[in-house]
Formats: sequence, structure tokens, C-alpha cells
Amino acid sequence: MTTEFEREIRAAFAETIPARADPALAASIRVQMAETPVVRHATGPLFRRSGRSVSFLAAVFAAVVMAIVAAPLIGQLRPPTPSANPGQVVGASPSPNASTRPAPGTIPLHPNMFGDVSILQVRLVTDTVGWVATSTGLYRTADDGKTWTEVRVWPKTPAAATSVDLIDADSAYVGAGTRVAVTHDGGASWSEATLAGESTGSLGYGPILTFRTPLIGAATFESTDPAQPVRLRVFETTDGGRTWVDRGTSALPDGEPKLAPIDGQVLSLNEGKADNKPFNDRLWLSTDGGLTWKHRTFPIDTASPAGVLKWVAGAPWIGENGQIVLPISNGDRSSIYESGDDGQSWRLIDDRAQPTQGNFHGDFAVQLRSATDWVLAARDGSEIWSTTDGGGDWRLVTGQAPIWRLSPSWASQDHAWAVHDCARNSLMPHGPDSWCDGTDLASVLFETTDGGRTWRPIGG
Amino acid sequence: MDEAARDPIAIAVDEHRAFERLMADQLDASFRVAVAILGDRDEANDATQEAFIAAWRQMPGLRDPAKAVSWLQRITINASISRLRRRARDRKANEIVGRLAPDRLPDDEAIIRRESLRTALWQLKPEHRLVVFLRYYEDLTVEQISRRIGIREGTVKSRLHYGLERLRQAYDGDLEQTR
Repeated sequence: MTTEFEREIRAAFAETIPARADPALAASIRVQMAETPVVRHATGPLFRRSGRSVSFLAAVFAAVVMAIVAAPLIGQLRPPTPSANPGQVVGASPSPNASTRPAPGTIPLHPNMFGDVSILQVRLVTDTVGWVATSTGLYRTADDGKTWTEVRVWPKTPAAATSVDLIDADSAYVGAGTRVAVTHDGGASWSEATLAGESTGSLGYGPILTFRTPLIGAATFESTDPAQPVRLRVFETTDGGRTWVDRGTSALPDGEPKLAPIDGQVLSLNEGKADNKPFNDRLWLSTDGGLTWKHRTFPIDTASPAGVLKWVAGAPWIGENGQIVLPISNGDRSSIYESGDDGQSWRLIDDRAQPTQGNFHGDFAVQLRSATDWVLAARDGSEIWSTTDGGGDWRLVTGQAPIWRLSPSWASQDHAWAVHDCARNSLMPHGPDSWCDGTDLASVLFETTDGGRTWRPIGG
Repeated sequence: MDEAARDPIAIAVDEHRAFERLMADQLDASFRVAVAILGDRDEANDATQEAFIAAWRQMPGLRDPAKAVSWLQRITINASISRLRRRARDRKANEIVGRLAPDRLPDDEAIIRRESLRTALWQLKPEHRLVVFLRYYEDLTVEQISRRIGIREGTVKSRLHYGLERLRQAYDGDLEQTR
């Protein structure tokens, strides 16, 4: 039986302890989740693949939820526009007073310029022009990092803008909830379009941005109800993001459940298997944001046997007349295949054992810069293989990158940027880290100009 | 190899969804625990956030999903107590009383009792306040508290006893002084 004293205790707690957490707390946690990797001790499978798809998915998920939860709180998003029907043009051309704004001024490079924030994505486009997307905004340099322009600042909630596609030296797309902003002049001006009046909650994960050219691409949302088959809602632009057409919903082929967005121009369904079924070795790629899927077969040979685990290990390169260059991995070996008939048959171009590294399996970070210009970088920087003639001749550079899980962005065979993530490094068993230990740095941006033999921090 | 373990995308997505469910179920409770320990909503916000991010990082290490709630609560308690330790003890007490005490003077007996109790509550040691909170606000049994925060039942009982004794003294004593 409850006494008056006990009732008073309860009342005293009730008066001072809120029954519910601040609504912004969950949103804030999701923002951090998007930027925080889970810890997998030993060498869990998540770290044996590129990891990019997973972190991207998590970031997109957080961005969507964040936008739903936080938008009303922070008052950053516009009021919704009326819901659109499939086929309807749902975007709007930018008006002078829409969201076009001049870029802020130039920022001279200073030590640890990006050290206080998490770097989400980097793209070194040429030897002089590059982009850095951080948790607070987007930066661009036109002089190889000597000076920077802060071309876009995210809303206060950084994950609300983590969906970024850095296309080339001039064009970049930024997705936040149902809005997509685009620049085609290196960030000097931006235009925004609202894809749909619906909440991102009804649209699902997204937007996942995939662009075939700076002008033609898609923004895709993936449904998130685990009880229902995955549905995709696809919006398409053919005019560089000025207008968007709602292409409606589509399903993944044969109920394949694993959409694996890959940086670049395609979506893929990974691993040639469906959940809890034998590997069927089917490979699905979509170049229209998931609206349509074309069935290909995974390359099958001694380097990539039938019926075993294998996955797309980097952004494929898709050219004209059915040419596809496809990097795959099986966890032990990395291979590159080429097709001249749109993936109906494959030719093995390169196959090499993945280097074994101390704390995790060492896959390669593969970047296909063109049909013939490829770079494969071991995650510890010990081996950098590159070719400029489609695998005819390979150049090996040996080095030792001071970077955790090297994932460079190469402008050429010699010149690349890469991010050393202090926060992630601190989560993994590792030796002394002279760049991060004893500092508050979140990340360090590195550069190589000798093909990966040596790396130096940008900003000193 | 276990097929599920070879499916990293699915694992990541499943983990994310599972964590979202855990957060939906437990965020409020964890926040309340943090406030009960810290006596400060802003700090409780920070501690709860810190706890959930720590839990997110460590989620693959959680072998038994059935223990997720107590696991999370322990992380929250640890995060809150760590914050408490970083605070200067004297300053903390002053802040807590200063922030949570009423602005006006009590003007009747019921209010006097309540305010006295409230003041005493926030002067308890945090570990004592926590078990009192879980017992009388969250309505957990001694056994449930023991499992939830990972201490022996005997320890729960002794902390409850000590906490209630101090509260009773303050509750009755303050009332006596005002009469």
C-alpha cells in the first residue's frame, strides 16, 4: 500500500523530472548516429567491403528522419507544396529571391582547417579544383587547397544535408529531405527545388542522388517499412535540377531486398543473392535512379566462382554502346571485369589478392576515373596500383599512408586527397596516431602528389 | 559462415531499425534516469545523447537483445555519473538546489512538505536518488532495479533504506522547524 510519504516522493520526482525527453534530443542523436560508425571488433564483414554504401545509407536514413523531426523545430524547411502526381513537374525554376545566393568570401587555408568538423566527402576533380563536404557545410578550392570558399552552409542540423553528389568542377547537388539544391557554377549560386509536398517520412530513405551527367540524374527515396517489399520513389531531372519530374514508384526486381547505392551514376543490387537464399549470381544495375532495372549476371570464372559471396566493390563505370567496367570483391580478392555487351558477358581485366593488414581485412579502394584510367589503393596505403590504359600496364607505388581506412579521391594517377578520420580511428584498435592523439581534431585532410608514396596534411 | 553474418548491408539496416526501436522505447526512460542522477535537464540531455551514441557504437557487441534495455540504462547511468564526477561536488549541490528549488516561499503545510522533500531529494547521493527514483517513480521492484542497473539486491535495499531515511528526516524535520 502506498503511503503518503511515498506519494510525495513520486510527486517530487514528477514535478522536476520531465516525463518525456526533449523532442530535439532524438533528432540530435540521429545526427550523431549518421556520423558515428558502429564498432565491430575483430574484422566484421562490414569493414571488409567498401563501407561506403552502409555509411551512406545510415547518413541518408538519419537525414530523412532528421528532416522530419527537426525541421519544424529549427524552422529551416519551407512550407510543403501541394502533393504531386507521377509525371507531374514538381520542382520549380529558381527565382531571384528563391535560394540563389552569392557565395561567401574566400577563406585562406589555415592549419587544421577542417579539423574541428567531420569531413563527410571529398572530391578532387582536377589538380586544382576540389570539394570538401563537412558536417557543417560545403567548401571548394580552385587552387589545390591554398584558399577555400565556403559555398554552402548546412542548416544547424548537419545531417539534414549529408546527401551530397559532387559531380565535377562546377556542379554539385545537395539533398536535404525533400529538397535538392544544385550549383553549376562552382557554388557561386544555387537553386533549390522541393521534390514533393509529402513529408520525407512517407517517401522513406533519401534522397539518394545519382547523376549520369551534370544535367541528367535522379533523386530516389527508398521505403523503410520492414514489413513491406521495398518500393522506390523516383524523381528525375534532365535540366540540371531546375525542374524535377515525379516518375512515381517502382519495385526492386524479384523482391531483391538489398539496394546498395554507390557513389556515382548507378544504383546496384548487391551480392547476387536475396536474403536467406542461395547466391543466385544475379547482378542488377539501374542508371535511372531505380526506376528500371536491367538484369545482368555477375562475372563468373575462377576469380569469381558461381554461388559464392561477391559484391560490387566500387562505383562501376558505364560508357556508351554497352561498355561497363565493374569492380567486385569476394572479401579476399579484388577483381575488375569489363563488358562490351551491357553486362551479358564479362572479361576479367585484373585480379589480385587483397593485402592483409593488421586490424582488418585489407580491401582496395577502387576508383574508375574513366573507361581506362583506374586506381586501386590498399586501405593502409601500402600498395597503390594504377593504370591509364585499361589494365594493359599497371604502376605500383608503395607507401605508408598515415590514414585510417584510406579512401582517396584521385584527380590523376599522382594526385589525390584522402581523409583521416580521428573519431573513427579512436574506435579501432590501433597504434599511436600522431595526427589525432592528444588533439580534439575530428579529421585531417591529406594530399599526395606522388601517387601515394607520401601523404601530407592540407593545412599543415 | 552464418549467412546473416555475411550480409553487411542487411546487418547495418537491421541494426539501424533495431536501434530506432530501442530509442523509441527507451529514450524517455533514459532521459528521466539521467535527470534523476544529474538534477539538470541540460546535462541530462547531453548525458542521454552521449549514452545513446555510445550504445550505437557498441551495438554489435550486444549479444543478447533481451538485455538491451538494462544494457542501455547502464550506459546512461555511467554516462550520467561520469558527468557528475566531472562537476565540482559543492558547486553541483548549489546548482541543483538553485535550479530546482522554488522561487517563492511555501505558504501552506503541503507545499512546505513537498518543497522540503524536493530539496532533500536533490541532496541525496546520486546512487541513492537513482534507486529511490526507480522504485517510487518508475515503480520497479527491488529485483527489477537490481537487474536494470546491475547491482545486487542487497545493495538496492541498502541504498533505498539510506535514501528514504534521509528523505524522511528532511520531510519531517523541515516540517517541525516551520511549526
